Amino acid sequence: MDALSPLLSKGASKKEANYFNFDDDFESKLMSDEYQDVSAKEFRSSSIAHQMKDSVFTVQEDESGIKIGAPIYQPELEKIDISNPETVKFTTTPEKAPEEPIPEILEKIESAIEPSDIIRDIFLGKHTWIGRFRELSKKRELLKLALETYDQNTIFSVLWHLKATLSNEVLINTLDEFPASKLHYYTLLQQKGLEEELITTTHACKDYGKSGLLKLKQARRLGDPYKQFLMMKDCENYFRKFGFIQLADFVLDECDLLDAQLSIHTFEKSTGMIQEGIGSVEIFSPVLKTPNFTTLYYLCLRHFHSNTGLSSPTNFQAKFDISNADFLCIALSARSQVKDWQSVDNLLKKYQTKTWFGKNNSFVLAPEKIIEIFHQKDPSPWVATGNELRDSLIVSLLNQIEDLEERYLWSFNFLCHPVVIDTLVKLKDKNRLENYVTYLPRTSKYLRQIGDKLAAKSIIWRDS
Amino acid sequence: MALSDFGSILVKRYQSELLSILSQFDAPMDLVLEKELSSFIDQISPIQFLKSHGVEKIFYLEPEMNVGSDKRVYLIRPIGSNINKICRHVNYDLDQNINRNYLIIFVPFKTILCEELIESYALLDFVELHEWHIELIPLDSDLLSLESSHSLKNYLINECSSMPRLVASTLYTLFQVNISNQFHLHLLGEQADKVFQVFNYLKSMPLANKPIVNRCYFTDVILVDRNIDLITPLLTQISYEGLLDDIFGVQHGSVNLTEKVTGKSKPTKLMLNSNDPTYSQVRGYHISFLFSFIKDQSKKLIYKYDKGRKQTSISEMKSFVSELKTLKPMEQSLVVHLCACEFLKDVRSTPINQKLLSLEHALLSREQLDEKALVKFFESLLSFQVSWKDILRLLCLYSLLNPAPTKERIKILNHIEKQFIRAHGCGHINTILNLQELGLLNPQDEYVHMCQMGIKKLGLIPKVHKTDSVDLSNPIDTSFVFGGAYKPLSCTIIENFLKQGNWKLGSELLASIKFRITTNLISKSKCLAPEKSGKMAHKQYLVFFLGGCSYSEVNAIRFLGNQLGIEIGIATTSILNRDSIFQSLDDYIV
Repeated sequence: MDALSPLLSKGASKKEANYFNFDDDFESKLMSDEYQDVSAKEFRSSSIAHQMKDSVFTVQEDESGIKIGAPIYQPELEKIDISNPETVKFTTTPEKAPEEPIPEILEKIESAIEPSDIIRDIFLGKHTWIGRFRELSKKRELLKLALETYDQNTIFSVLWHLKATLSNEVLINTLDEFPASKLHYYTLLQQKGLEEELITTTHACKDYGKSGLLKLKQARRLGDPYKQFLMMKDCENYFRKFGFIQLADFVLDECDLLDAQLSIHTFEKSTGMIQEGIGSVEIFSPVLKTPNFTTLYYLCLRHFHSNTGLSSPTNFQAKFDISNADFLCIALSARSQVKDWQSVDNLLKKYQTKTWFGKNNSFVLAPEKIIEIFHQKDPSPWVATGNELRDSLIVSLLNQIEDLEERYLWSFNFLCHPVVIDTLVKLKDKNRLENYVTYLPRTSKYLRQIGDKLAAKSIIWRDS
Repeated sequence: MALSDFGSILVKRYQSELLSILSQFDAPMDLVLEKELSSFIDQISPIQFLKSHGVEKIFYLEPEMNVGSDKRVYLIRPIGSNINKICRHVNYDLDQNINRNYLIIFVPFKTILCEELIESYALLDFVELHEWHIELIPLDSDLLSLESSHSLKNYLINECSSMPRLVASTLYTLFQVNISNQFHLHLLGEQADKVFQVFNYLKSMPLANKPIVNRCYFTDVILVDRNIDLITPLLTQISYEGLLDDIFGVQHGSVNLTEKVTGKSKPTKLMLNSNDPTYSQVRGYHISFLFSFIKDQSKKLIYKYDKGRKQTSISEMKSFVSELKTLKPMEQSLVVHLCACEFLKDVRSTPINQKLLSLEHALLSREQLDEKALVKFFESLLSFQVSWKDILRLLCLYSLLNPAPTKERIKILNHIEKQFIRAHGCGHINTILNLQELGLLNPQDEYVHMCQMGIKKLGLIPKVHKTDSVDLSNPIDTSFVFGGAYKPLSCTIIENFLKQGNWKLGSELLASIKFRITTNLISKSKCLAPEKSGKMAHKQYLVFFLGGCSYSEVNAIRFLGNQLGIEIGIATTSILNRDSIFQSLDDYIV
């Protein structure tokens, strides 16, 4: 009633209301208690209001601009020159009230419904009709108000309406005008699954970083690694073109890696390590699309003794400038996984040579780290596997650990008796040495050794 | 009314709301539940409750579903993939000429995108849509949560989130139920300002007031934007409840302990709240104290059992039997907590976790670290394929806390980032960019400057910070939540306010990241004159964390309440642990 009362007070009498071709009982409905508190938007969405709309005229937009259409009940469409306002006249069903100023009243009703009403209704989850606002200025206002609610649902509703009714160029300009709306619009497109459109929009909005990353995402999803390589090259160029050097470098590294993986794939195919695909379906090497370190691990696992091209781990290391420490760590991990202790020994001899000073920090990889790798890959106790080389490697590495507590910890983890006993004696820890007896089998020769040490008067135990 | 009672009132309200929606269907009906919602729903409407109100069978939402009765209720979050599954079900039924009624209940509200999606499938004629407005749910007697963690990334990075609206409407409910005619609303940070704007928008609307019989009381609400303190959720928690969350992941106030932990044949669900007498006493403890506590409790229990066995008279026997009711659950609770503690201790004491923790504490101590050794350490973590979240977490802490010159830090960060991509793949580029945007991996960002300033001005890092030298059983400040190494920034700002009565220090600090702190007096009616302070029986605070908070922060706030003798309730949008931020920011490029 709030919205209608000014209308009625400004000369829109009850009599005039009849000209709207309302139901006969409209007036009584309007004045009844039921409608006393009706707001403008509720009125607009009511069935009465719909009838009212249908009976008058439509205002339409087309490419040439605005034209005023004929009423839905009016079969003839009059040609109107909108440049001359005087020629613009409104028609309604002639037998009712041909000369009454109906549109003026209707305009007032329309104007009584403000964008803020619509926004409030969307915010509250009520049914509403956002399409009533066709002017760009109103749409801007809708967007501004929606952004002020910080409600994603409300903002999405307005943006979706804008997307449906504005050309791309105008839409982008509008988004530019409200920077906060951009991120919402991107999220909207993302949630709608419109990826291509999202890439175009981010590019048009000059968010080149985002656009490039979306392209990269698309590229990495491609199943065919050859196509992926080409598309990633495009991405790299795109980043470089728009000044994202760090990102371009990342992608370049990734391209190089993929290139190397493709050559490993070709090598594996030529040596029959990968089966031929059926028909046009190609079976690819599992190394494809994995990170550098994983690729190196794979090579150490499957091509450790190869010297050919990039399938050789050392060639791969050189090509991708992988440090000796990283290489050793990965290679040891892979070779101990397959229990190739001879290769492990060779690797240690090659990389783990002490300098003249003989200090542990001159090792490529700290002995405790190597022991940790061994423990990760094969935690079986010392001498349990029956592999003498493994056992001797463990003893020698444990003895290289400088920190006695850490040495004890690792030797205890492997139950490497000689090192445990030796370390506890060095630590002068009688209690732990006495307790260690419980970990030894009854027939163990180390029981006697422990007994000897405990009885030795030359050792001054820490606790005593 | 205490916050705990208010929590149970809220649950009852949600239950009645759900029942009124379900009453549109005659029993029996099937309930199809989104899996992620199951423990959340269990908290509000347990299965027995649902079954007693017409729900016959409960299913998880799967892509295919060809069974069930002729009435089906879906309970889902407004996510496109859920709608796709439902539409598939409906279309299948239509193809098979199966006549079935469908009701979709969105938690907490439906979205236009979901409605449009259903419309695009031309199924709006067949399904009925409803909303179940769940706001805060009680996780404990003093802790309420919105449990909406899924939009954390949008909240932190994109600023495209419904969080302000959700919190504002919650705040509006609190406003309505507050007995006090007015309360002070303190806004800390940009997102808090947004919430206030939406709150005012809601307040200006002629909303239908729901009849509220039960009310709560608070005089001050402090809204804390997560963006002001991003260090705290990055740190390893040392309290029992914090560790439970870091290692097992607490979900809606409960944790699932696997067979490996309990040694039982099936997983055990452990509810983590004050109703569990053991948990309520030990939750804030450092894990090292737990074993002695459990030992003491076990001794007491054995003594009581022994005493019971020695009873001879019938009356004594009777009293013992009635006491058994409490002893048995107590015994079970002790056993489960002991198992959990043992497991947590084992995980914590692995060499790699020890190393990560020692580096974290070294970074917190802000000693000038040997940069070469640090780089080597990070490289070894990478070659050992340590979890990417742990590496990025430590890298962020290095960027935020290290006092080394900015240029040097940038150089090191660039090098490790490059190595990180090599080890974990190009797919993590987006994650790194997100962290840079947030200021966590960018030493030039003003946020880093604010953190360094906060450390100096608020004394966030106590001078004596070694765990050994801090009496964790009898703490003197909030740093006890991190073993004496760090005071949570957000809690320290609040502590300062509670002690000084003004936000001066906090305002100065937040001004450096262009945030502000404002206080607004919210009155129910404009005509009402401001209440005199003398009229208020006592001060009751509610600290509301926007964007989530960790159990360590909850613990710190509880400690402040006890120390200052003030009642402080805690509300949050979700509970965070050290992995939460990384999980939400991880935008892995497939």
